[in-house]
Amino acid sequence: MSLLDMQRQFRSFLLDDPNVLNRYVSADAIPGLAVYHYAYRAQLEECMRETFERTWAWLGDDDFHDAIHRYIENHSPTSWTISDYGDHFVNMLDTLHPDSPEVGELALLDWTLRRAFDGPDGAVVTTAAMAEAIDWDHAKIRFVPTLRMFAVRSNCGALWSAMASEKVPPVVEYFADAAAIRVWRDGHSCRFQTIDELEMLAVNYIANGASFAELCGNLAHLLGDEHGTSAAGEFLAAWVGEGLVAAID
Amino acid sequence: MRTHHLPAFEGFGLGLRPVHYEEILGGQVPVDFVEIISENFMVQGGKPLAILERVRAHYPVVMHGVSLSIGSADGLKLDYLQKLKELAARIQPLWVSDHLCWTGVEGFNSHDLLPLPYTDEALDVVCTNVNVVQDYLGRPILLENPSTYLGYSQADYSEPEFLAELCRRAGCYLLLDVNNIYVSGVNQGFDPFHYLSAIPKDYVRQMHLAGHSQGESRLIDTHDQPVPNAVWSVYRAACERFGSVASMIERDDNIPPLNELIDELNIARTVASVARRSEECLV
Ligand SMILES: [Fe+2]
Repeated sequence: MSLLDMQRQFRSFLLDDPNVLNRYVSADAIPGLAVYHYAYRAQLEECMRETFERTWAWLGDDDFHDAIHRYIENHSPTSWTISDYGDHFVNMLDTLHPDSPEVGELALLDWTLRRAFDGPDGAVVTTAAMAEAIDWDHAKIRFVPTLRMFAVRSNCGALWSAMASEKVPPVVEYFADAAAIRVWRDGHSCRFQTIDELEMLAVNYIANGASFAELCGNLAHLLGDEHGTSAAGEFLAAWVGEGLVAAID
Repeated sequence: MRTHHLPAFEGFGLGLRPVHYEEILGGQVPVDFVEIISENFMVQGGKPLAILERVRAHYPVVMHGVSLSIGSADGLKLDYLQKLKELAARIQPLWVSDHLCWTGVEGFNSHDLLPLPYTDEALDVVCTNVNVVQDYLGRPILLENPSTYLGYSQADYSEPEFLAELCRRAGCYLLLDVNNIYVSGVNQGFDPFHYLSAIPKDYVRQMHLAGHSQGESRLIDTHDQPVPNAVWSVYRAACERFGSVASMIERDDNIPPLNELIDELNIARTVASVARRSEECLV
């Protein structure tokens, strides 16, 4: 019996084929097998609790543990790093809670913040640097590399913040208009902000390579000339103030 | 196979854990080196790496991994090795270590240190993989004896015989975890002192000390309590056999204030120096 075969069988054993290893071990090894069987699951459960801490708080122990047990039974880890393990959990929660989008959205926020925590470092433009001569006709804005944005239908950001500060969460609200959350890391602090549809569009323009002048043009198209330029200026000032801008070149 | 010599480093160290970051960063903690869990820092950026670079400015660092899977029959994961090499280049550790175990196969990763059968075939697999890692990293590695909870019905070697043969053939070194020797000894019915005598003297570069707990039917390597007397006895015997080897306490759970770990590390210093003196008397 080859080592490769034995390792395949051990994998099957961990994934819940209880007797498959019996011919490789003696009868007195059965309690030892149970230790590995338990440890495999315990480790993944702990990883899920750490990664999705606020989702856990929101769902409560029973529902959250049901969800992660179901996830563990259906997803075996493949990456060398366990921090990748929960990457399909949001999809599963969306399926389990089709009428409660805040559940999946909370999980996506947990997940994205965790990614930002040890995501790439980069320079940040300060408000003071904005005073320097910048050729605004050609200036391009680059966001920090940890920036991620995703559409939301609920006030999951407010729920998350309340739970993080151990306050009673507000009631769930579903937005009538499109909205999004942007997540990024400012220094060593992971941050997020719920934004409206207009800012979501603006972030997307810039992220897709539009210059500042093009952003002004696009917003003017939506809001009229005067309002478009001032909205673009306000967005940029806010982004710089929040440590979201890596460079203006 | 290229041979890689690894100079010894004497001293007493601790693992770098987030609850102790601030004190360690002060640079005044009486440790000779700091051990990191490599995977926690094989990341793109952010606080962990920034902290590590500051810690490295004050202390020598050793890198200790859990995901190499040196015993995988289908070979090593290149993306992992690449990240490991990048971190080693950045941190310039005294050395890089992992465990004598396998963690996954064919794309599956259990994230646990699974036991290897100590067969000729497994020895070939591990030797081949060690050669690949050492050539890729351009440095020798240390492998640690794991805590094991079962033995396989097929075995050509005892664990220390396997380790000894591995070091001779692949030119790697050993991280001897005396708690793991004790835990595996109780679980599998071998004598830890007899185990030590089967380990060749020249390959041990580091020792781990830790505590364990009693599970339902096995001792479990929990690293959540002080080093018990039984493990200190094995440590003393190991010091007598292997001399002054870099030693440290592993504490991963139920982590006490740093000064308690420093006190415990001072016990290690005392045990090691008593062992050394008794060795000198014998000489
Ligand atoms: Fe260890």
